[in-house]
Amino acid sequence: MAASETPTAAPPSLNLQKMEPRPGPQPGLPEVRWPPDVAGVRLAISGEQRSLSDILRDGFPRLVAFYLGVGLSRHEAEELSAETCEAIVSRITQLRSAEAFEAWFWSIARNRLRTLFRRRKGRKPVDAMISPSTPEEISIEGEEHRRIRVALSLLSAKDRELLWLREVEDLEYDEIASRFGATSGTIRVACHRARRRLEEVYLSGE
Amino acid sequence: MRVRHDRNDKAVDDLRSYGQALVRSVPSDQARAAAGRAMFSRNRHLVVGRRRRRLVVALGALGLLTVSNVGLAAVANTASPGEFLYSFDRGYEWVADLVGAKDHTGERLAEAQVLNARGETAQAIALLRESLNAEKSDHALLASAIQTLEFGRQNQIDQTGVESPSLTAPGQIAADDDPPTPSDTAPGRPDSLPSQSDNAPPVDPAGTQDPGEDSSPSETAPGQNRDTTTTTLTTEKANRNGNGGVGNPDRGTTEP
Repeated sequence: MAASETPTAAPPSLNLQKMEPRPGPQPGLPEVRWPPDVAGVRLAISGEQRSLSDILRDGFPRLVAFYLGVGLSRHEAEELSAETCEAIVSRITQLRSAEAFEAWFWSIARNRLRTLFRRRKGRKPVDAMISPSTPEEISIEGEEHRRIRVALSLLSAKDRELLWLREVEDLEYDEIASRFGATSGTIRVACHRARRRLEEVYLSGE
Repeated sequence: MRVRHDRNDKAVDDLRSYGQALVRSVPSDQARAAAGRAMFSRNRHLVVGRRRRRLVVALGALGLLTVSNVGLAAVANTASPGEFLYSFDRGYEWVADLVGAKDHTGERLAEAQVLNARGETAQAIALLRESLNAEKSDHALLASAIQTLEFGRQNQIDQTGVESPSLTAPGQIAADDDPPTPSDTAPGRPDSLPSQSDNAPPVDPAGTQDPGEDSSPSETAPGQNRDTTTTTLTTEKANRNGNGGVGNPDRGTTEP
């Protein structure tokens, strides 16, 4: 465990500056608000197109990241994200509570992913997580990210989804549980075990 | 605002960092374009849905109108003069005439028969006269019927001294539905009309009258035509329906 506590210095070739969190809205670009505020979601549900468009604009990158994180290629992730956006647009009026938007959003994303996996059935799965597919990905990737990507590829699809929704998207256990069809306690335990497995494979690669 | 976990877990921290890096790797232009495409797809669905809904409503209304029109025409076709639906019947006939229709002589004769049975002989004659103006009518047949009705009416006047609107008592038509026997149509009787099949001109018992004019009451015995007027109308209608060759081809052409 000593290796994990030691801060790892970035190799000179890595461009970690791009990995730093965005400090705020960049000049000329709209402010990214995620998760969207309840008022904006209410407007979108009522049919206000500008609010819905803003939500989709801010949600699309998160969808792409989620699909990349669970193992899709860049091309697949972007296509599936676009499909998910269309599904959200067509079903937004069926959303009953604006407060439940985030969980609803990710449930649609999960359903789309499962549909894709079902379509893939019978074909040899291509795990895009083994190596980055585009030069852009290569350029933004650091050593830690390469290791975490490889570690994620060794986990099950369910563990990846759980870890992503819990740790990256910061969903509550209740929200995840409602979408996974399980109790909050079950999800809590499953997330804990997934974290343990990630840590094991992550540290084994050092 | 959610409370972030304060675990000192390097793998999870790197996972979060990796996730944020992936989110940032998507250009904002691409995100905006994807949102625009999704919104366009919704508008497209809405437009298509709206058009489809309008088309369904229009087709439904058209179908309902067609069904109601056909039903009304079918019901009105059996209406007799004086009934509410009779005007619809005539209206539909007028429309049918506009699109190249048929001869309505048979219907007019049947209606005149109903009117005559109802005691409205004058209206029956007026109805037949009106039909004479139609181009596709069987003029000879209508003229014969008019002549028959007028002749009978004149007989009625001569017999009773009062101009009665009816030639026959109501209900007599049913009794006279049997085909005429040779004894029914005595030679020279003015109601012995030519059938449509032999296309003969209307009979002028006196040899001097035009169709539509009143016949001389002296040429037949009073009361003789009273019993045969309706029968003749029925026979004429039967002849029009294809039975004309069965009857006596010399009817109406015999000498008095």
